[in-house]
Amino acid sequence: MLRRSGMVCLLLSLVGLETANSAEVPDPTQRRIVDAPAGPISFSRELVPALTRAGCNAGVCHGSFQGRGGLQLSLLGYDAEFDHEVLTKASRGRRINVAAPERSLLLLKPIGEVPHGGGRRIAPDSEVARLITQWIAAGSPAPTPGDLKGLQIRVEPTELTLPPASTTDPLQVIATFADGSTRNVSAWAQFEIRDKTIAEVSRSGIVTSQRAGKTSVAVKYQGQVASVSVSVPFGPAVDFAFPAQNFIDDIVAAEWKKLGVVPAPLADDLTFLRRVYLDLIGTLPTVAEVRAFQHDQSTDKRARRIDELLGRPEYVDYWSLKWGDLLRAHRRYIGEKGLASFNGWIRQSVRDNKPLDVMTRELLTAKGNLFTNGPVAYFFIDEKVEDLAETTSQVFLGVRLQCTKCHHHPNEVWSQQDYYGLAAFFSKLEMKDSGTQGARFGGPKSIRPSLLENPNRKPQMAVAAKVLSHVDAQTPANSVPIAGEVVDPRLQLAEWITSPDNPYFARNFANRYWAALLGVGLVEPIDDLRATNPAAMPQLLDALAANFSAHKFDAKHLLKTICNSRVYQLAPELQPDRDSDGMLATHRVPRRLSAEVLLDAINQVTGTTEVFVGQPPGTRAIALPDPTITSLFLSTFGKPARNSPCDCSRSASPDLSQALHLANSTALHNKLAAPEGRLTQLMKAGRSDDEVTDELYLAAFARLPLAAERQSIRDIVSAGNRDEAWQDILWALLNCSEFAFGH
Amino acid sequence: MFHIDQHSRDGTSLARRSLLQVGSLGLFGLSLPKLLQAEQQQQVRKDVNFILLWTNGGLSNIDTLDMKPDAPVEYRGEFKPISTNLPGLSVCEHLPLMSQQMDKVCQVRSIVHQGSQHSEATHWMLTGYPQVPDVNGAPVGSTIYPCFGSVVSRELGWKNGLPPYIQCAQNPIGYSGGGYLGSAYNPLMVKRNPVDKDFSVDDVSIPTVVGADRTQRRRRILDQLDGWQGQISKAPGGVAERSEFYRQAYDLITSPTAKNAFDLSAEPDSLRDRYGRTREGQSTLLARRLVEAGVRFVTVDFTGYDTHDKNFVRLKDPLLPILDKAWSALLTDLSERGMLSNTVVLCAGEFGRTPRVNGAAGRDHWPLSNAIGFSGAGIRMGTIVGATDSKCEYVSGRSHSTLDYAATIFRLMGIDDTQEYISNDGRPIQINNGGRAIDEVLV
Repeated sequence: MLRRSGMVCLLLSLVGLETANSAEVPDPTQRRIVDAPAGPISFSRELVPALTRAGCNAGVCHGSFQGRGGLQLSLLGYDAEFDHEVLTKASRGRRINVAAPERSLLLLKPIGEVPHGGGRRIAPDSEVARLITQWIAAGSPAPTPGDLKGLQIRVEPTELTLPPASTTDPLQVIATFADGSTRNVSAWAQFEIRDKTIAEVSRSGIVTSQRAGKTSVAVKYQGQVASVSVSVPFGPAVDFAFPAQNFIDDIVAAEWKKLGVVPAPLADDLTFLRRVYLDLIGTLPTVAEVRAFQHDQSTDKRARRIDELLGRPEYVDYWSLKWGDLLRAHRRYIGEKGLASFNGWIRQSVRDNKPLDVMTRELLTAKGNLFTNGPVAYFFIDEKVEDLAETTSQVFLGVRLQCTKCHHHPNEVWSQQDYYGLAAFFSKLEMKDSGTQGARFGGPKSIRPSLLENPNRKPQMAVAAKVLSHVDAQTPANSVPIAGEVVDPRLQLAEWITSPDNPYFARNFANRYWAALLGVGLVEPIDDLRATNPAAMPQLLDALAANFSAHKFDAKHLLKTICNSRVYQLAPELQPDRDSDGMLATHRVPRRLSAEVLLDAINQVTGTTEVFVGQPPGTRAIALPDPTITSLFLSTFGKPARNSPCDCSRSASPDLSQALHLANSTALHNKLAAPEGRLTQLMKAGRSDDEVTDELYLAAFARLPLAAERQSIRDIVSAGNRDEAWQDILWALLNCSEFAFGH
Repeated sequence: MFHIDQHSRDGTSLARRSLLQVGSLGLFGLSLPKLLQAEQQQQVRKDVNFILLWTNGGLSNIDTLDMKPDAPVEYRGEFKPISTNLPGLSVCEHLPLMSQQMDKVCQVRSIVHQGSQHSEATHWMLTGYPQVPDVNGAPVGSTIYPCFGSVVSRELGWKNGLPPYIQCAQNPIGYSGGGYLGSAYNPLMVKRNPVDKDFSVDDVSIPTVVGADRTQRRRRILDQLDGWQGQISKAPGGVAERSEFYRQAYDLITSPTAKNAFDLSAEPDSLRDRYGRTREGQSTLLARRLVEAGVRFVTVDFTGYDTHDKNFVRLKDPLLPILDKAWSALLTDLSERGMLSNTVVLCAGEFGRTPRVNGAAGRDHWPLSNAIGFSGAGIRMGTIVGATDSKCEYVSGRSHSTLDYAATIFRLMGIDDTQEYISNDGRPIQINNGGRAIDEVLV
């Protein structure tokens, strides 16, 4: 029976009948509920989920803030009391017809009997229609208080492995309530697949695989979530030799073998060299460094170079830039003097390789004068307690709580209680800002903890300070006493966040560092850690997090561990036939150099320097204090303005204005022709054409030219004006994708 | 490391979001298929172009289009109204040319918003969406929405080898870019002054030291040496798209269409004079040429309207004469060429100005009343929509939100604004959140 219904669904979805707009197909899975509700129909356990499944309270329909067509429901049914009020009492109760339940507007609209902006959502003979009628007939009972209390859901199975173009039985969703009772709620749960190109999931929970890869199904029922990981192997399990450098290689290779996928070969020495320079210090290797590395015969030269790079001054510049972006260091918030103080703290922390838990605690518990204590800036960059809660959760935990400011998180268990509970940790702060017009023009600023709630820093909703309540109940997190006598509740928050037992902190940073090096996070987007967004390789993320935690949150150790793995050192593939997005790290995915790194690289190759207004000559783009320094190049290539705690504002994708600027700007031409530049110097020194070619290739690509490239260049140079020919050749090299991308 | 995604910090209604759709978020954010393919898939839809004359800083409505000669002297100011070719409507004495074009204008006085500082107000009026500033007046942390021109770029794409969205402004106008859609939808900037004899467009006009021949040769060398790009297929991270942008860039750099469109010297002197030999006037003429050549949305920046002091002195000369010439010349020129049937002209700024004159003979920011003018394709020209009270302080009767105003613009452009985009943090966001087109504006 179940199997047959699966086939029907599959067929329907194949011919495109099962679309969001079509009326609910007579879906046999819904019939299974018939035996479930023994007693009266529960508003919050049955009726609201039924409406949710029919799409009634989706954000684009009645769940929208303004409602639709005069009816507003809570988004995805997070507020049953509100919904009951609206459905039974609002608009003078016109939606309910007590005398003739089957003639109620609540039914006639979605079944299309009367005109409905959303069309026909429910078939007249469906389970949902029957449920609505019965509920009305029973006197439209209100939600029982505590109906959903203690609700938890699990899904069976939690892992699916299926070959391409195959289909599963429906996923089973079991709800457990506070009274210990359980119920199969599969018919009322919602299923969403993360990557539709890998597999699809029908509304009744049947998974159909499309192509090889890994993805997951999010399962949701009344504010609770669960997740099913879906693996579609590339082929039968394979075996191959993969000499492991460390635990990363063991875990990843096992995953590949299981999925029947073979990785790219190890990258050659020079590819590795350019990559590791760009990833660790945001800087190209010099011609001399490339030559020296090439001639180094020792077997541990890669590991030694990694160690050496982690000690370079450019490491401090580059990682301070990343921290500055993440924490939004900008004079707009803290003035010039405050910026210097904050940047000083960031650079010092990076230089000293301060453990990340220490950095986090210094930030979250900062007090005193901004000018003498940099991390105080954290409380001036975000001033509202709500913003502090959002930033803190996103930066340090990788958890996005923004949704829960106004409603229950649509894809997580977080509620408004969690949001305002976190915000309340910041409410006892006294803030002094003597700057004219707020912080914009500087002036002494300080933060000090206060015994009293600061009326200016009160969250919109009064909630006792508490950490995310649904974090695995076994963690000590929830036993942190938030007592009234504590002066500064931030201490407890910082303690909880940085505890080795915190389920998010180490994973968050392990994922961020992995993404910084590999180009793709194990979890993407990288600051969206949640049950319904599992890591591509969960064992790897767990192991990285455990290792990071065991090494006292030592960032250099983490970077070194990843860089030394064979997985990191794999060759790029320009025509991958599997894992094209690189989630499984089977090969290196090229990515465009960031704005600052690219500008520095152009200057390094052309032998010129950039002049930034107000900065000492020779200042590199990766070392700029904040984005106030205007540069057409940097804004064109997407340097973030640090106006949101969002690195997605760092645009990494190519666009037209970038192509125009690199291909046709006077600025770049002037660099090619600069008297002090590399080309002019090479010409002056009377170097041969082949020598010049070698040097330019080593400088730009960290490799020697191929024979064909050398010949092409000889032909171009011999064809006319030598200086112009070389300018045009160097122009072309800088416009090559091989230059603009890290790989 | 260190991406942290953008989200709304807006404490108001907007933060109440619709359902997250994780499945539809590509790994690398928004892909650009529409941008790249739009030209190939010429859909059958209205082919309407848009010219936005942006009175940057906030044009004083009470001194120009919505005069209140009967208001107390501290309100009505020193300008006299003159009659127009629209019976019953007077405009400022310093708009003599426009007074004879009011039959081509649908003036809207009913739009109200809450952005009292320039940056946020600009966001309201260029995207339709609210924006909330931080204590310093700088919008932070909020979702930045795409400007109308960016939505047009995304929905309609390139035409005739020309980019869909161009902005003529010395400095980019705030919030005039792609917002959460990304920089690919930013306007192409024309920063230099088209009055100048050697007017050129940065990064589009070939540098004279390089010249056309070397530009062509460079491209040949690049094709020859970029073997890496040639091998690319399926690789994410924008590598494959990059060659498409280079193709577009070269089309633009080398195409006679673009070169010709930017060449104002092809216009008769008399017409150039009519637009006014000012940056704004010549930019407006350029906008007409660009639209004619295939650009879909052109913004012209009219700066200097933030008249906190010497409001009357500055409006009288040079602000209003510049606007008067450019705006009226554009309307007559488009009309003479039959282009008013496929071009929308909008003259608007971020807000109106305080009806009560301040101590410095200036007027301050006032988002509670504003006067903007629509003309052209699909517009019920020669009408006035909405009204303000006797002192031009508040809208009397029905007001419209900026979402309604935005919906009107999308309707005019034939864009279905109920479509959803996925923001860079993975939330579905409708192009327009429930605004309804202002019927009285539309034919």
